[in-house]
Amino acid sequence: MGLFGIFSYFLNIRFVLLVFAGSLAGLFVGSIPGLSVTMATALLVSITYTWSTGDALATVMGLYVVGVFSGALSAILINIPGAPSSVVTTFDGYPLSKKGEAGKALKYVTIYSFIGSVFGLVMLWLLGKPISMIALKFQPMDYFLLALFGLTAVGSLTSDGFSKGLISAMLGLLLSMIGLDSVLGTPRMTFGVRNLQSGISIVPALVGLFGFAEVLTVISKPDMNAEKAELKNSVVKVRDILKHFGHSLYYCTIGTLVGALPGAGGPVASFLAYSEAKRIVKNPSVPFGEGAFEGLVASESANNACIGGAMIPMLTLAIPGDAVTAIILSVFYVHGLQPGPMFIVMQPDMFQAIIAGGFLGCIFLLILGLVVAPKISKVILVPKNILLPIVTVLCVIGAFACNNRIFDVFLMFCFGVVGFFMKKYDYSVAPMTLAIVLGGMMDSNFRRAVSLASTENNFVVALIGRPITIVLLILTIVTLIMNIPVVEKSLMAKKNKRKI
Amino acid sequence: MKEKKKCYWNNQDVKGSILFFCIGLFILAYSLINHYEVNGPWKMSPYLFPTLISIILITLSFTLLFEGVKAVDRGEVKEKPKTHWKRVFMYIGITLLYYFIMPHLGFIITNIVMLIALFLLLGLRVWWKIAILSVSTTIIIYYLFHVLLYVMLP
Repeated sequence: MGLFGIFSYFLNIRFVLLVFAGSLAGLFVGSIPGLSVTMATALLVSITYTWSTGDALATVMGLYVVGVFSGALSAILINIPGAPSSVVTTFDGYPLSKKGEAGKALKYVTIYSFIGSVFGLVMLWLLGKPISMIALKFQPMDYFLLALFGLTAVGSLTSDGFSKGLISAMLGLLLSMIGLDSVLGTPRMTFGVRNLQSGISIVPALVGLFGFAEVLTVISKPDMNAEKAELKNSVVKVRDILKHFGHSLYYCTIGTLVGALPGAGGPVASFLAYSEAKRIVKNPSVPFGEGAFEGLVASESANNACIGGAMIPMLTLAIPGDAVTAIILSVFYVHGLQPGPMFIVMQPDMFQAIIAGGFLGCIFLLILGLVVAPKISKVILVPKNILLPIVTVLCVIGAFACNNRIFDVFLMFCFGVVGFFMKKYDYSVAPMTLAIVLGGMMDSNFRRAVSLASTENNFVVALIGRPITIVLLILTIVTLIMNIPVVEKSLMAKKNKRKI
Repeated sequence: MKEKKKCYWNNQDVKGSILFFCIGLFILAYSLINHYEVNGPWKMSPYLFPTLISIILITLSFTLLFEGVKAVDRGEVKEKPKTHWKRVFMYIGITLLYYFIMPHLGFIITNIVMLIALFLLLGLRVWWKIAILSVSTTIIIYYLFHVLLYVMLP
């Protein structure tokens, strides 16, 4: 549909330049921790208010596509994810950077972000309607179980013990409960502290748990200054990078489907894809979590495929898939457009502009990722005793910028100290991060599900009797059972026997 | 030969399990007390989810205890890398001081002072380097975020 219409935008110099401007802004904003794509898109809405709809959409799409990708840059280079969806990228990206292979990691990330973004947009173009119909079938209990499944899967990703991973997730869920209750509006777990009434923002938590905690971890080493960072000038063959292409399509499918679920978004998609990668990749280049390229492929393919996925319910049902698409929706309303089931039929030119803007954004992602990103990677060569204080200042600004609240800086320091001790005693901070992101959604959906089921005759059937719910429940239970130490050991023994 | 006495208290997992058990128990008690004070149905209670989480946390603290005890029984000893505690606490101290002083002195002055202190703490001793780095970093950050991007600074 409208292939010619889409390509006609490629020849429109003004349109291409605006996408490029958005892409540059996306690269810059996305790679700085604390400056989120959501914030940048919100700023763009006010700037593009008087522009034509096509111009506004071109800039927004460029920013969105490249902004999601560039969160991986700081994740790889300084272990601070630019956005929650880049958390998983730190697992293998930062170890690679420590080994001096940041350049190679950035090439992988660029190419698979490109593949993920293109895949998501193609799905939006071809299968927008059917996918949104599947997403509509999800009920509150399904959202709750999907998030729970994500958390249990994360438990299995942690390097030292399943129970430690789950404990980290439970603590994250408890932290996400702090603040005004979303249903009744009463303060919960604030212990009389007024600043806690607005809850724990994800950005200070993220910056603290990853950024400041990493600073403390590095300075805690007695021989901190003896460690010299290196940047190997390794040549990577495109053939080597593309050998994961088959698997990446699977991760892209996960990303698109999760992206189409309102509220789930990039973090869940990348976590799920990473846990799937651990399951299906039998012989990774090095073990997962120690710099496996397969981990980068999973994370980046999935979180970038979410872009197209998140736009599906936004365009076809007027339900935004994530925070950025919620703001893009406001661009539509500002310019008098009405997304919904008839949008693609009634406004084909605008739909084509979105797709064209997305594809152009993907091309700029590839160019900027391959040309500019290697230059940024030189940042790791800066001596640690100079780099770490500067990273600390960036952490402070990142934490403050999200809400303009000095208390968030304090929270960031607290999370940094907690993250440092968690790392020291082998508790992964990733499950806690995901739990803080998903906690509010899990709480409201769980209560909604219980409330709805309590009005039915058969409570249990109403709660967990639907096919999607049953599948998600089984997946969660199987993940839990498979990770119980006794079961895990017997499975390993069986595997070894078969090998012999 | 006299068998060496096993000491479970030195195991980090055992210590951790006690900590998480206490947190779980505290949240459970807090949630139950607050729920019954509100006196509404459980299905709409803001404390339904925290209650569930605290029960799971208590259960997990037992599994962690079990893992820790088993590790001691097997004679596993985890070697922990040495930690430069003095540097860590001083770094945290300086950043906390920065947090408390900033509202009074403003971003630029506090930031320059903090950077000087941190550079010195991390072993940088060349004065002109320290001065140039701390002043230029602050000015670049101020210009980039505040002037160019209109980002509010603390």
